[in-house]
Amino acid sequence: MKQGYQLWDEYNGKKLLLVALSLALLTHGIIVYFTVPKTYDAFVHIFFADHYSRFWFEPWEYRWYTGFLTTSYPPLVHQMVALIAKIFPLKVAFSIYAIIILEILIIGVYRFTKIFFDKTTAGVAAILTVVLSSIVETLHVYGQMPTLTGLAFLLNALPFLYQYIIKRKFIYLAMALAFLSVTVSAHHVTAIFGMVFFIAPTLFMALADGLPANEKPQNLLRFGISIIKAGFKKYKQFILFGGLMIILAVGLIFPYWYWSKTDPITQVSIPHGSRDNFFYKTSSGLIFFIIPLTLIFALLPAITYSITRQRRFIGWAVSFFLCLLLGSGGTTPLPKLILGSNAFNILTLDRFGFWASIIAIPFMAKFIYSFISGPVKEFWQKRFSTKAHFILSSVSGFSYLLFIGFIFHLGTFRPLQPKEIEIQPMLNFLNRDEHMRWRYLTLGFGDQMAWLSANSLAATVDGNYHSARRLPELTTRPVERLENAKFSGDDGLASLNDFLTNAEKYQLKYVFSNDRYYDPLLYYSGWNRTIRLENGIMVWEKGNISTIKPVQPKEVKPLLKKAWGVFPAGSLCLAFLLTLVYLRRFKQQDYIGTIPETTHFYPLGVVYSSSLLPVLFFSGFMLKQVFELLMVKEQSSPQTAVLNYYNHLDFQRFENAFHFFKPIPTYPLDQYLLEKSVNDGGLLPSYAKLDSIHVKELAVKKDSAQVRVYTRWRTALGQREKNDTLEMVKQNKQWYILPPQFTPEIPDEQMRSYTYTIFKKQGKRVVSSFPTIKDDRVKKPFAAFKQVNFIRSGQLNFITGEILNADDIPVNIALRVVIRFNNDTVKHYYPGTAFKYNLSPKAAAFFQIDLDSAKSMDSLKIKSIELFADTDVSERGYIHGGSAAYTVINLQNEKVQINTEMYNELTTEINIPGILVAEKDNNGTILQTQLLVHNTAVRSGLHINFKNQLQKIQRTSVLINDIPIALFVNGQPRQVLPTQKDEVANRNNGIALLPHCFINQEIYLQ
Amino acid sequence: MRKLFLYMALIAFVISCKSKQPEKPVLLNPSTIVSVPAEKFLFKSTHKNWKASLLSFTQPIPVLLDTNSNGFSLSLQHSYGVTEGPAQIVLSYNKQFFYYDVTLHNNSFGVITERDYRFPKTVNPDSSLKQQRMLHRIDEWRNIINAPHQTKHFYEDIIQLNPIAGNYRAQKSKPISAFYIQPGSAVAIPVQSIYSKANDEFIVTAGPLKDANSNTVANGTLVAFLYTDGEKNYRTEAALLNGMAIVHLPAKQKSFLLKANIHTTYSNTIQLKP
Repeated sequence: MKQGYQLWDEYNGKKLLLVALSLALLTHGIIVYFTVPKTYDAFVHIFFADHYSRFWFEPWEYRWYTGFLTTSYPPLVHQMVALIAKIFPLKVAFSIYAIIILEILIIGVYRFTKIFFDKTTAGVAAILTVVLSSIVETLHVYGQMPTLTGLAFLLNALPFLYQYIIKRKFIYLAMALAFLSVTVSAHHVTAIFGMVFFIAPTLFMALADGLPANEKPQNLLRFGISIIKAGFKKYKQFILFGGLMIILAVGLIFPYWYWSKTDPITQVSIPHGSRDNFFYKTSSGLIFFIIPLTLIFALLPAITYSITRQRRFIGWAVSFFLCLLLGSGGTTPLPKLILGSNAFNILTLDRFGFWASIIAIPFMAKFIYSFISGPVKEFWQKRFSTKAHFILSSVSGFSYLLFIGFIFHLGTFRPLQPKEIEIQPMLNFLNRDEHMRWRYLTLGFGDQMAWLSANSLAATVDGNYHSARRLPELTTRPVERLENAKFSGDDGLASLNDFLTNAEKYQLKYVFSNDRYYDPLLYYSGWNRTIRLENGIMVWEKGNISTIKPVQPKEVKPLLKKAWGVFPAGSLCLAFLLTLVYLRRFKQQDYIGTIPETTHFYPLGVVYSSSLLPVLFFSGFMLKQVFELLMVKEQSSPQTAVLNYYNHLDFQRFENAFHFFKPIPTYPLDQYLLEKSVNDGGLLPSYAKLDSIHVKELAVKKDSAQVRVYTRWRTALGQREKNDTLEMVKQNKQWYILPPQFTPEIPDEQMRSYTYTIFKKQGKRVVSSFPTIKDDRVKKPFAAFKQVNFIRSGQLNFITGEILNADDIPVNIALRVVIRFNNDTVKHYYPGTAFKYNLSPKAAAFFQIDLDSAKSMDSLKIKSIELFADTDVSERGYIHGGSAAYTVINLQNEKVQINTEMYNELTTEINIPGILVAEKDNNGTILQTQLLVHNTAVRSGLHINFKNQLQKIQRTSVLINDIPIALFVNGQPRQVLPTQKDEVANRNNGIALLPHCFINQEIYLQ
Repeated sequence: MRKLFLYMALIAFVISCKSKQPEKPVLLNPSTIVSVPAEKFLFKSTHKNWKASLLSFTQPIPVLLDTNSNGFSLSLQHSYGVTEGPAQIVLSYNKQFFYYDVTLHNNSFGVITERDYRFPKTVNPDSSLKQQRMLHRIDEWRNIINAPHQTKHFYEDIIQLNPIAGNYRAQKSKPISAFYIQPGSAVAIPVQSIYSKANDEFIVTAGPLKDANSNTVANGTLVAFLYTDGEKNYRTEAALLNGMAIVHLPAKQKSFLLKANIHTTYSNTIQLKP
């Protein structure tokens, strides 16, 4: 065959690089647009990009956390996406940017590998990059563009730095610094750790390669001394590079350093899965260690052999193993010891694993090259057969590609985010009726909250960039975001509760809820459902919230603003121009002549292990996935059966749960679902998440068992516990649950009717978007305080009382206690769930507003207490449902048990039967108020009985009269009405109650 | 030296090209109070090509400029009135501006509109039936003119409203002037009960509820029925509709003592017997 027709003989490396670039375009390029919405970080970066596309030179971003500075994150990636977004929509712009960066990264890996091995190996490395699981995960699961951008330019800079140390040519220094400038401008963390894990080993390798051949000593100690000597000889180069690098690192993103110095992050560390012990938390191990690093572990023998074979790789060996160790998170105590607990709790350690995988690329590529067409291939063919090698390589390759396909779609297999939410209805809602004059909050949106923010100018109290949080309600608890508070345990709900209760403090008026889990908390904190948008999102609203007060932006000097807008983007332009100059004037054909040639030989142990491990790992991994889907024995023991049954119930997979019941012809799925629909519902079945479960086998025989199931549930109203006893039988080697006996209360009547009054506020009488003082103002309804008391019980202080809707229309009442202390500090307190916020005409409700501890308040000395009530006309939320009958039994230690019988006279289910309980003294003075709710629902026309215990405080509490409480209704001073004795309470151990139920059916206007 | 002369000549040429500034035109009107739209603003000036505008304290008013031999005159482009008060005529010639303070006065009122403002718009006899009233009139061009039969622009007084609940209008032809007299609180709660043997339930009726002025108490008012069987204490709530609140209480073959309650008003205690 003529030489001209041979496909792969010339420019092997470059051809492979072109293949890699094309492959990346075909695979990642096509899929990235679809994976972006499911990633963790993409929307945050898109939000930042949107900021720069709107306000390039203004770093103050008011839309999150009541305002923060975007100088808190290097801007280059966001600014570049913002520029592309001038032409394309934001998501497309981000995808285009991602593809460009991936291509630059592949070129970077190719060039990076060339300082280790030959060009063909570098080409293999480039192709490996396209399918490397850690890169696929970083792009398609995490969406971390700054990390990839920083790395892409860092890898491109390293060969120039290497050249500069060896050849001392200024152009190489300029090129290295230009590329490193882009790294600094894109991702400061990559720049900082890149100095340690990438630049230091490169310098070491350059020094080692720069030693004259006759001066290369055999002895390791002498080699070290030679390196030190060589380093001293080139000290001017090091100082020049180091000095310029520091100037660039500081100067390019100076506003960032200035921000981190002047506004240091003082917040409780947020847990991150990469810091878990991967043996205990296997899900974290899978995401942060197994998926990104499986190939590295499969080829670890080959990597270890190659990286320790040559002295020039000593620096890389240290970097690689250190990164691998740090990437193992909390599995061993070593990373914490190395980094110190501060850094350990701030950093996300999976990044170290990611860097380890990058360092390993050249060494993996070398083995793969040898395995495909080198000595390893020859060994397999000679020792076994060509067929054996072909089968081995094809099985390895296909199983790995399946594994990569699995990672591409990880977001689909194991949903990390809620389903995609159409944001247009929310944008329309925010745009109309001046809704943007208040802040909003999203619940159950996942990272899509950033996408909503990016498309609207409205402000939210939440945010998706926790380094910028400064509100104490957020920074004092390990809570990443409010919108996924339920995943942050009690702390998350406490934070969310703070915001929902103190909504006025942050002018928070609207909540977009995509998760009914939060409904009970929203309802009992005084929020009302306003409208269900076309996309299914429920909008909750709180009355009497003032419009956003202007927040003074944190001052940034105009010069710094200009520098922030110009320098980082300028660094990229400069790098681009310098590259053109370099390619045209300085690029040499074979510019790296100092790389020593290495053989493709591997010892037998390495050949076997590194050839077989990938097959074992990836085939094993994929088979395990299939096994989990198909062949799990869910009913092998009573305990397993119960655990799996509850798991299905928790995820509302009722058909799966039904299959755990003993198959009985008279008990089909229909019957189960029917019984469930009439017997189930309420706080635990509908608004809770199973937190923990413990199964105790009470009696186990050969074919039957009785088990007690202790469950703890997380609800928006706190944790609740439940005990169930289940009877089980064994049939065909499987354990089944006997369906519970079902004896429902049967209402006599055929139809129910219930009369209530609906109100509609007419709103503005003038159709105009301009506010006028005369005709738009809806009158403030009348309210009156029936009693107000300042109570101290031990260390607890609270204001209790009762307020009346004195008007003829339903009202929404907002209460606020303002306490002024002697040192001129002023504190505001709001009621939590111990209040009925919406009241029918002439209805009254007890309330309790918790204050600070006695110790704290006494130390500050109270100057005055003011209680403000603001009223607003309400159309909704004033029906609280249910007829309550109760008796009270005295228990020990001042405890009482309240036995409540709730009768549902409404025409719909009461989802959460609840009572607002007040403890009164003989004169009718309210000592405390509490909300007590029941776990299960009560259907229309039926009764439900429940018991609650209450710790009375009459003997331990004091009514503080020496500090008068000034009362205001709608800003005007008011007097309290005379306190009246409560005969019913006096007959019931001082306990009075009002029904306070949550009804999910919107027709009842809650 | 020759160059110097050349430069000097050039500078002299540039200076000589500069146009001569006009003198300020003289306003010839006998008074600065000008009746519009009929009256014109007369100016004496040697220059032509003036640009003119009339700025009232609320808006610019379009004017027409007519040049004559002695100067020029300004008249209003439209023939309707203006918002009266101080205004400024601005004359400009190139970048030269001259200002003249004048007071605009309409020739006629046009159509006069009566205004009647009330505060508060919602009155509840539980607190007070007094209402503040403010009267004034505006002409067609939105100038405030004296209240009817008054020497002042505004007439203000406090009026006592009739305690009949309803929606009223301060000005009959204007829905926007509506104000509202609400019914007050119930003064007594009459309660009756019937036992329905067929359904084993008590049908308890509270009402008709009236306030001190015999108005029917507002719809939606919460009536609490508190009853006990000697053991348990029951509370059932109902919303008032047309002065009546009706509840169906399951009897369970028991007797109860019941009273109805709205805020501090209680009914008599009645016994419910099957």
